[in-house]
Amino acid sequence: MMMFSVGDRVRIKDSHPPGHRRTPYYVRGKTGVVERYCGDFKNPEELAYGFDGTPKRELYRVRITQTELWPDYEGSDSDTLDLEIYDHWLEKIGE
Amino acid sequence: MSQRQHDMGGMQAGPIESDEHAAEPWAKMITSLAAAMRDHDIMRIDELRRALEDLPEDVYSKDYFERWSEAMVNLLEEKGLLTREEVMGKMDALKAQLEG
Repeated sequence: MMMFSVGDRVRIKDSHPPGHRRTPYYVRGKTGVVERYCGDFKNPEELAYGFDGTPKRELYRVRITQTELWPDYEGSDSDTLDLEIYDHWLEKIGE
Repeated sequence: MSQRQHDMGGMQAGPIESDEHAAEPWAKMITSLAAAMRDHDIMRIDELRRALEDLPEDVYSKDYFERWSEAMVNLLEEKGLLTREEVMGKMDALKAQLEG
């Protein structure tokens, strides 16, 4: 079951658990828009420690503006970064 | 928890060295060993990444493939397959054999 739809506004959790994590530090706490659903995959954060990686996690491509990421960004307001984030790192914002 | 050593997005990284350099034979060997460990279900790529990220800073700052070899030895020890002493002992024996 898909937890998010294309176009949903999402916030990447501002969470800092120890260990192997697949969400880069610089995007934590940032907001973006779901660009596409990429499928479900075994959880690499569990596979990294020898577990079987289940339940599978849904992976979403999230589009974030560069100005959201970098306060001192000097390029266009329409410049964006796409990156793929697992569902357990995302929360939906605003209806 | 603060930004970890491998998670460099947004950090000041300094100049990028763009010179081409040939891969050393030992570095190719490490790549092959990593592939063999994966093929034999001894190591997953996610485990290698985790072991690389967990290396102490003075080891993490070494050459890319030295880093890989250190992480792979740590995983072999963690899984109880080989000890670091056994790996180093075998390397010394091979070195002696090649030099002899």
